[in-house]
Amino acid sequence: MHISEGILSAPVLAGGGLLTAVGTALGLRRLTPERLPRVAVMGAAFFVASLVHVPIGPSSAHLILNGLCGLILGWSAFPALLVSLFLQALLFGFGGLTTLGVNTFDMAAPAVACAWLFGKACNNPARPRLVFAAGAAAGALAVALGCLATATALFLSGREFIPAIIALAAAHIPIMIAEGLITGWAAWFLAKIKPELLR
Amino acid sequence: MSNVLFELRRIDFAYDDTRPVLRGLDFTLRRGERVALTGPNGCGKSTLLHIMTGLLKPSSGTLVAFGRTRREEKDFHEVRRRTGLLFQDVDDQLFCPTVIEDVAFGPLNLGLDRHAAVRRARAVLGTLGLDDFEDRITFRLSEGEKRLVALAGVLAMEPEVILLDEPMAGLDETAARRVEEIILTLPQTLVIIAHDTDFLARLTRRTLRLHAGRLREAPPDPFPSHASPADAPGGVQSIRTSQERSKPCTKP
Amino acid sequence: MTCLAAIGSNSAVSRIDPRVRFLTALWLAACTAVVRNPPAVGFALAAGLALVAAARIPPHRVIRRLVPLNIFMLLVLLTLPWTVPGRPLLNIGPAVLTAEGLQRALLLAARGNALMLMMIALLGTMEVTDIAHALSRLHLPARLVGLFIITIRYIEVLHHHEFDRLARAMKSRSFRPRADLHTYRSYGYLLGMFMVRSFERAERILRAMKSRGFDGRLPALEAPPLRPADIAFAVSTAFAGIIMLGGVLP
Ligand SMILES: Nc1ncnc2c1ncn2[C@@H]1O[C@H](COP(=O)(O)OP(=O)(O)O)[C@@H](O)[C@H]1O
Ligand SMILES: [Mg+2]
Repeated sequence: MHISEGILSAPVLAGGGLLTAVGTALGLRRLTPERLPRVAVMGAAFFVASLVHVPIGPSSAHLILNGLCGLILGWSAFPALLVSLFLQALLFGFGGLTTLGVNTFDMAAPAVACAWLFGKACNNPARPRLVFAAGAAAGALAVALGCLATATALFLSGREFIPAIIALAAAHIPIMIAEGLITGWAAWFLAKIKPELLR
Repeated sequence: MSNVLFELRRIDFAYDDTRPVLRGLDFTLRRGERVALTGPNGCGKSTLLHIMTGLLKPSSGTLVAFGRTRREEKDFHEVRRRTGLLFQDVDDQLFCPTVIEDVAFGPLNLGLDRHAAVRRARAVLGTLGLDDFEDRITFRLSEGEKRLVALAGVLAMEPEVILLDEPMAGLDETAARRVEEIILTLPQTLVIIAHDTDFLARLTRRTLRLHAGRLREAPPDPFPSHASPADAPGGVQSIRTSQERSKPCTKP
Repeated sequence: MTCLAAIGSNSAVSRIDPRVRFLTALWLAACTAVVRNPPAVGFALAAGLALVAAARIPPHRVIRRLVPLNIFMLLVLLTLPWTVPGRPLLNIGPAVLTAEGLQRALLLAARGNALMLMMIALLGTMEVTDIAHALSRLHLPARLVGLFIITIRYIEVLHHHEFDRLARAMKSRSFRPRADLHTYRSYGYLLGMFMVRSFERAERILRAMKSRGFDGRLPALEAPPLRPADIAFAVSTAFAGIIMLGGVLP
C-alpha cells in the first residue's frame, strides 16, 4: 500500500503532506509523556511487522496492521505511523520521502476512523467474541479504506492510473481478509491479557 | 536402522565473524542416551541446541540427523517434528492466550485436526498433573508453571529426542524438584543443559563440557551416588554450585 | 546485525553535515517530484547516480533498495502505455499502445528512481541516531523527535529480543506459515504477545532512560559548525535544483 516515489502529481503530494501535518499535530497534542511508550512501541511494532511475510493464497504479503494501530493509539496513530513509514522508506525503500505525507495519511486516517468506529466494542474484555468481531472488522476496514485513499491519490494524479488502481485493489482483497482475521485474534488476545492496551 | 540420531562434525558457528562461538565442534548422540551439557555462561550451549534443530545454520561442518544430512531449511522440518526443544527462556515459547491452546499448537502443526490436537494436549497436561490448567492464561502463570506448560507443549509433539535448555534455572526449590522428577521419568533420548551436578549425576553418566567452541567428555563421577536414572529422586537437597555459573567464559 | 543499520560509507558525501544532507535531500526531492519534461528528469536521474557514486555505495545495496520502487513501477509500465491517449504504436484487439503513454510511463519510472537514488545517497548513509540529531537541530517538534528516538531504540530491542525469539520458538514446534486459519490465528496471537511483551519492556526501558535524566528530548550536544565543504555542497545542490526547475518553466 506504499505509493512509490515519482508517480503522484505535485498537488496530490502537497495535499497529502498537509493532511498528515494536521493529523500529526493533533496526534502529538495527545501524546503525553505517559503515553509515549505505548505510541513508540506501536510504531516499532508496525515497523517490525512489515518484515513479516504472511502467506495469502499462493503468494505472500507483509502485514499492514493499521487497524490494530488505530485501536491501540487513536489519533496518535498519525505520529507513530509517520515515524515508522519514514524509517521504512529510509531503510528498505518502501514508499519514499516525497510520498511520506500521502502514505502516512492513507494508513493513519483509516486507523483513526476504525478507532472511532470499533474502539468501544474492543474495550469489552468480558465479551471476547465481540472483541474478535470488532477487531476483525477494524483490521479489514482499515486496509479497505487505506486502499481507497491510495486509489484516490492515484486517481487525482491522472485518469491513466485507473487500471493500476484496479490491479492494486484486487490484490488487496485477500490481504484485507488475512489482516482482518489476524487483527481480530490479536485484539482477542489483548482483551484477554492486557485489556488496558485497547482503551 | 542405525542408533545414531545426531552426528555433528566440525561445526563452526559465529553470530558475528569476529567472535566464533563454536569452532570445529563434534558431537554424536545415540538413541536412548541421556547427555548432560555443561559449560560456563555464554559458551554456546543454547546455540548448539538451536543448530541441532536448524534454527541457526552453521557456517561450516556437517550435520546428520536421523540418518540424513541436513543442510537447508526444508531438511529440518522432519528434524523438528522428531526433536522437541525446551527453550531457556520460557517466555519465548509461550505465546497463546490459554494453556490448552499453547499445548495444542505443536500437534496442530503436525497436521492433527483441532479436536485431536486438543485431546492430545489434555492427555499430556494430565500426565504432568496440570489437569485444571487448561483455561489458565499463560502470561500469568508462575515461572515453575510456565516451565511445565512449555514442557507439555514439547511433549505433546511426541518427539523422539528432547533437548532441554536449563530446565530448572530460575525456579524455586519446589518447582525445580517437580520439573526434575518429570525429567527423570522421560523415556526419550535427552540432551540437557544444566549446572546442578547432583541432578545430572542422578540423570546421566555422560557429561560433556563445552569449552572454547568444542565439546569434551567430562571424566565420569568417581562416586556415582545415584547411578541409575531409574532411581527415584530421593529427597536429596540439591546444592547448586554457583561457582560454575559465574566462571567467566574464556574466549579465544 | 540490526535491521536499522545504515549503509556504511566513508566518502565525501557521508562527511557532509547531517543537517545539510537532510535539507538538501528535501530540496532535491521536492524539485525532482515536480519536474515533468524529459531533459529535467534526465538531469535528476544523472544527479541521483552521481550522488550514489560519490557516496561510494556498493551497487548491490543500491539495487536492493530500488526493488520495492520498481515493483510498483512495473505495474505503471505495464498499464500506462495502454491508457494514455495519443499516437498509436501497436494495436492488440481493442487495446492501443501509444507513444505518449510509453513516454509517460518511462518518465515516471526515471523520476521515481532518481528520487530514490538521491535519498539512498544522502540519507541512507546516515545512522538513524544522526538523523535524530539533525531533526532535533532543525527544530522539528520536540515530541516528534522524542518519539522518533524512542521508536528506533525499541525497534532494535523488539526485533532482536522479542519477535525473532518468539518466531524461532514457533518454528521449533514445526510451525510453517500457510494460507489457513491456524496460521492467521497463530500470527494474531504472536502479534498480541509481541505487543504485550514489547509494551512491558518499553515501559522498563523508558523508566531506565528517565532514571538517567531523559525527559523526551535529546541532550543538546553541541552542533559542530558547518565547514566550507558543507556550504559548498548546499550551494551546488541548490543550483542543481534550480536548473531542474528551470526545465519546467517555458
Ligand atoms: N542472537 C544473538 N546475537 C549475537 N550474539 C549472540 C546471540 N545469542 C547469543 N549470542 C552470543 O553467543 C554466545 C553464546 O551464547 P549461548 O549459546 O546463549 O550461550 P550459553 O547458552 O552457553 O549460555 C554468547 O557470547 C552470546 O552473547
Ligand atoms: Mg543458554
